[in-house]
Amino acid sequence: MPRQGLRTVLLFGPAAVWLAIAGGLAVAAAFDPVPAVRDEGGVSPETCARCHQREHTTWHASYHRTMTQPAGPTAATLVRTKSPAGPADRVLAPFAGERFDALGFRATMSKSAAGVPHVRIEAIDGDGRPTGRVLVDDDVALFVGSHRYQQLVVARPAAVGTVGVRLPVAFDPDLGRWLHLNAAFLEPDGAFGNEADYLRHATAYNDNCLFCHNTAPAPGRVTDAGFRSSAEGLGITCEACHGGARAHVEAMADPLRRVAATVSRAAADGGLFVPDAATGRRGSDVCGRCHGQRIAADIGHVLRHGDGFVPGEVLADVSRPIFRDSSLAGRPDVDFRGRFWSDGTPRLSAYEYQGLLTSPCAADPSFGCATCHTMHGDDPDDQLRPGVRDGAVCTSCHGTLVDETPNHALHRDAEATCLDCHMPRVTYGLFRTMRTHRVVPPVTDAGPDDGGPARPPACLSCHVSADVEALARWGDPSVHATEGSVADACPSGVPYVVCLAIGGDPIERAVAVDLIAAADRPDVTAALADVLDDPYPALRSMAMRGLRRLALRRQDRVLAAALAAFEPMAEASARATTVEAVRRRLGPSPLVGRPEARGRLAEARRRTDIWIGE
Amino acid sequence: MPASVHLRASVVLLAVFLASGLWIEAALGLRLPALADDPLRREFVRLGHAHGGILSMANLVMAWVMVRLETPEGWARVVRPAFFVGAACVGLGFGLGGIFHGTTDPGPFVLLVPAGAMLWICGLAAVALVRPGDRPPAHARNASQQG
Repeated sequence: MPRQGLRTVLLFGPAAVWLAIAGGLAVAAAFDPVPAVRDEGGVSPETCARCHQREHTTWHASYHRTMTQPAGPTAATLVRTKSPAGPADRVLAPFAGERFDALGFRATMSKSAAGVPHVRIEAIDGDGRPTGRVLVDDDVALFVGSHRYQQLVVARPAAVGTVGVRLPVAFDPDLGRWLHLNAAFLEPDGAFGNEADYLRHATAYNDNCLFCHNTAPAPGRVTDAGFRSSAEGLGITCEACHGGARAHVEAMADPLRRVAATVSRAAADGGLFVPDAATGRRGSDVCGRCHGQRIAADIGHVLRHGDGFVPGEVLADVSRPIFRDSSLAGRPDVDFRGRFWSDGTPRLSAYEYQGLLTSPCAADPSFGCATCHTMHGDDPDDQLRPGVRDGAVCTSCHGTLVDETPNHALHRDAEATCLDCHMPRVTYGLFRTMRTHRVVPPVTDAGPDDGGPARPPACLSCHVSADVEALARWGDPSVHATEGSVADACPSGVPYVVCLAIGGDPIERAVAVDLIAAADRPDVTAALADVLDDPYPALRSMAMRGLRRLALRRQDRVLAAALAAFEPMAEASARATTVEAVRRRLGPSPLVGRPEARGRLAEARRRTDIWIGE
Repeated sequence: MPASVHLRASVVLLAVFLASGLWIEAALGLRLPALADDPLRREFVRLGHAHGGILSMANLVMAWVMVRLETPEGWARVVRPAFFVGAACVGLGFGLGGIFHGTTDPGPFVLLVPAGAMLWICGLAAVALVRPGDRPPAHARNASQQG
């Protein structure tokens, strides 16, 4: 080789060889997809964070992450995890000796000598003195939830393994105090000193909460002897939505494969699932697993091994969603109609998937949860994409509709959003009403039937003072009076929401309470004082929360002070002082001087009382 | 590559990478989402701008160093393009790898960066090791005899 050629080879050779080898390997990786296999998973979020830092940051700020947190060493005996769980970092309650009395029992929250949160629940007499009967005296094993309230789970030994028991008290971060779970579900009060009533919601954890509060849960039920529960990880971690990631992580350890993956997705994901990018319904199936109550295809298998659903597969293969006309084989006594309005729109949270499936928009297979929501955005509260609240998502398809129809233009000019009329707040969950996830016409043709009431007209979102006659003029057939209905009992000139708040069934009352509290109008607000006396503690709690928001907005210190001591679970005699003080502050009830109407509404309410637990 | 061409080309390369800095500043100043909202792209474009600019200046320095060390022309003719191409590869590899990137990693252009680094290492080794008295190539001897 001539000398000059040798020098060129010495100087340029290594770089040329590098480019040839690295380029060749990268091209080979691009044509060598990671096999799409069912992956055993067990990859921790921290491992994912090594490459997906932004996604990890948004997940870390989310409430999905803290759906389950370990509280102490017994957590590991309750749920074995492949991915190690870090210490709880979102603990809402102080556990500094707080005491909370309800229904003749006292819960005392403290910490053990080792610093583990501890709960003792004992019976008390009418004067508040302990009777010596102790129901609970345990260290907390798990914290469940951290958004609306934080629940506690203790571990109890069983013949096989341990069984988790969800305690009936939880901490409410909005109020900064403890609450009883009877006040979170739509049920009447229990009896003072009745242990069964007090422990109504002290349910088993392993075959209940475990499913939707952890990643890839398997209850591990051993006949009736106990549970050996396991999960990929505590809380909702990356693999809950993306599936097992072990094959992906191992493949992506190769930097040249990572480079290839920038031009060829097959080189990267293998069996990994990206719900946002999925076509058809499969992306929403991932959410529907928890945000859509379902009936398992094989409950025995589910209780032993979990439902076996893997993100990217078809949810309907392992379960079917509950609809209004659903039934359970061999259980004719189970009636799901109370969970839906008469037109089939879900009335409870955790039925969002059903809302999606029954929306007319769902005719377009590209419409799904990810149309409005993103798990990796800047809004940890509702995890909405930018522009969703003002209806931008709606107008992306129905842009011309607003200008073409006079009613739309009229309401747009009045600053009503698409959501106000087509996704009204007619769903109850966790002390509040939420927007339905079924995109609906503002009014429904379906009147009340034996299974339950008609969906309240969306017009009430803004026209809170409208009476039955006004609503009928606006074309809502649902308020056409049927004998004994709320509309039938609602006098002309009285706002329909007031009648709903007093005479509706529990969810109608809940819807009315939030509408009244949001409107803050003198002709309806005083009705909230009536709801402070509702027979259901959850409704009393909602009225109290609505009034507190009202007091904050009005900067009304007198009203705030009157409400400060109000405890929805307290005896009626103990609540009476607050109710009177609030009545004095808000003025007379809209039904004052109409005892006959009030009686008819109370009668309507009695006929429609239902229990909606879990 | 003759010395004068190397110097001119290096100055042009320096101008190109300095101009890319102006573009980065403008994009950040105007909050262009393609750069401002994309941390991976921002990082790699900055790396490209910085490495390209500094290595362009290093080209000018090495041109001076080779004169001071009296690097034989036969070696210098090969070392100069190695430095120049190396600087371009590193700067453009970072920049283009960042502009055309994937979800978590830079795009395939980033493979140019190690190649550019190797060119520089080989070039620096040659400048350091070759002495003025080393035998010049035949065509250089012929040229000097004809002159």
